[in-house]
Amino acid sequence: MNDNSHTFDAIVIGAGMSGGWAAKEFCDHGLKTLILERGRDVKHITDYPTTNMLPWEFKHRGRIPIEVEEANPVISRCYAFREDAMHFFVKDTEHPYGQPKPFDWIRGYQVGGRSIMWARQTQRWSNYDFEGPARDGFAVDWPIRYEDLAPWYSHVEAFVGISGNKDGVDTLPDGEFLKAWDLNCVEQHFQTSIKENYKDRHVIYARCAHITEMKEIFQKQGRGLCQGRNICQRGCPFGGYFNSNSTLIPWAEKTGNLTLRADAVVHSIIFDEKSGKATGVRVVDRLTKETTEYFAKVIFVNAGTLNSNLILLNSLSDRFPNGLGNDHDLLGKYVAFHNYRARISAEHPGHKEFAPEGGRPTSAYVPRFRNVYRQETDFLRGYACTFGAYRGKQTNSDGFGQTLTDHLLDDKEYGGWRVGSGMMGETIPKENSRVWLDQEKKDEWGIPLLNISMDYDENDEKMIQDFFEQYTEMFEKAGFTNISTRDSKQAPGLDIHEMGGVRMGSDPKTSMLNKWHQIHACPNVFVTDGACMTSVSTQNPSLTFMAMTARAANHAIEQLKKEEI
Amino acid sequence: MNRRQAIQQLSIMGVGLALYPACNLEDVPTYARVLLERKQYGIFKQFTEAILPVDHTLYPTPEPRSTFILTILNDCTSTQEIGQYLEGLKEFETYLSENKLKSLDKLSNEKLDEIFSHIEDSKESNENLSRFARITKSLAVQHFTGSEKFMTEEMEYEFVPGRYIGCAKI
Repeated sequence: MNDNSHTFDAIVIGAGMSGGWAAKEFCDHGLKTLILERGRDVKHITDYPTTNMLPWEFKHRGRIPIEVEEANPVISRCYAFREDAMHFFVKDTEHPYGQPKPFDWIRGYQVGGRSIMWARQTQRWSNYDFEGPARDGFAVDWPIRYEDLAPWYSHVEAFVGISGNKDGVDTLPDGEFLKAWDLNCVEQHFQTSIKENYKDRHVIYARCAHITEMKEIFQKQGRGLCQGRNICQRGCPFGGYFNSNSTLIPWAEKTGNLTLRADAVVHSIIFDEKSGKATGVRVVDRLTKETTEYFAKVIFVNAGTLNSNLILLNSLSDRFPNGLGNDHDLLGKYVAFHNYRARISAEHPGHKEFAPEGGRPTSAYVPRFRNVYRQETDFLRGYACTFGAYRGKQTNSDGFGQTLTDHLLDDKEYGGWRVGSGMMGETIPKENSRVWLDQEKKDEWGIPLLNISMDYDENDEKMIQDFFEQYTEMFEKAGFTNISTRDSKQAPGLDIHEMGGVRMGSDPKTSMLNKWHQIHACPNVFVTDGACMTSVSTQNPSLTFMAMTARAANHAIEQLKKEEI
Repeated sequence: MNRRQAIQQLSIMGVGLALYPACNLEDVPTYARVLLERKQYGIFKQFTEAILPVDHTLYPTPEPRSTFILTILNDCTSTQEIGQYLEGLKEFETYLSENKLKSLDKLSNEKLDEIFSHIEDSKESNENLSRFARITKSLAVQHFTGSEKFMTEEMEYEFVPGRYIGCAKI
């Protein structure tokens, strides 16, 4: 079937953060665009059922029923999988996958994808990140540099709304920022201490995708200021933080150029041997299981890192018997993630006369300082860190009976300051870190299950020890006490930053995508979500995926105009 | 209903009243995983109140405290933990019976303190009883401190703060 209702200028697979950006750019430029989403539709505000529920209104006060927890051990390990947002997460039982090595795959199958529940941290990459593989001899050299992406970071930031300070830190370039919330007094104290004691270490405000100042563009989007509720994972009725549902999809729909097709599970991309191009996608309806095909001149693959790998691996043809563009058996290999295993916490004995008041959606951030300017340790690369200081009123629940009641009502005091940092370590993409299709098991839509195999290595273990040593020293210098470190030993995946498998590179022999995210061997297919990543660096990657998508989409638009694809 | 049936029912009620405290006349709520006999439910319910006496009209909650605790036990607790909890409740029932204590809500504060002291002293000697009390207390405290009035008035909770002051003087 190739009638008009199934033919578009562009097809975007995935209605999450990066897919939303592709659709928005195409629609803004007048391209008739189909966006396919395997999950249900989620309309901004209308489909946020818990967004205005007060804490005492939840039947289980936030807990997950044990029946759900026991049946779904992977998703139950995710910090945000709680009673208020559990409806946005994929249950293990609904979408199984293979784990030759433990991997906690955290997914959100709906319009908006994981952009509804994301942590909203938005730090740019710098050339210290893009030049990493070439300098340190792993993966392949990135085919782009910061200068290629910088204008697109700005383009995205201005539209999304990023709160931040211009810090002038070369490892974390500044962007188009809205005003920042305060760092609290203990975070400022740590900032000062680090500045006094270290030359190249910085404590800055963690930039995040929240609107703190009203601009015309946000009014046009129908979004309001962030109210600091800190329950963003439910979806925000103010549109205070950015997600695909509040910002990109409605914007694209307003152009009249967007067709949104939810419940559309992409089976594969259709390749035409004659033209040497992809002609469309094959879709299985999630509910009816009916198969349909859609056609377009250009296809953007934004299904989420591992599902984008899966779709390409399942796109088989005579020309590509091992998956679309996979002439060299690279597809699915060199996947990586962020090492989130290590945490450090302590107490701060000072600033007893102060406490934070109100709410904010972020904390402080310490950009990578290890191995930035030269190799200085016995492990490659480094780690960025969160830093937060907290203090709140505490109740005394000693005793029983009237004594307990009296304590709870009459004995409320501010507890001491607690401080903590979490490591966000760069892992090295390796050939044996990979995903592949199961030869026997299929899901209920007839698509092979994905096997996922990646693990920590010696480099990661050394990095954890270094984090413990360096941060213990930094905490001691700041006067923090009762310092304790913890290695969660968690499996890869809980960082929710899986990347790679369809890496970029200049050489078609050693990479899947060119510098514009086009599959070398099938140039009208673009991959611009996390699957394209050649290396993973330390920053939360979503901002980079969005900037890359906007850049690639505009390149595709130019090429379409010139009829080059 | 004829006169004879009415008298018969009154007699049954009379026997019931003689055997159980007034609150035990309530229906025992049905939970698939937490099965309580009528007498056990009465003791459980009284204990949930005695452990943290509060005027519920001043601190209203969406559900009664006993309902909340049973809901969490039933929906969010492992089978093993539920078993241990119910064993602890039985131990408590035995303790009350051995000490000829029928209704917790009619006891003086001094007597209740005696009971609580016994529970606290039994941490090592009677693990089930201690666990029963600890879980009940923890959920009772969560229910009370999570009530709207406690959160907003006692803990200054704000659903829509709309501001952040990093260093507010306290």
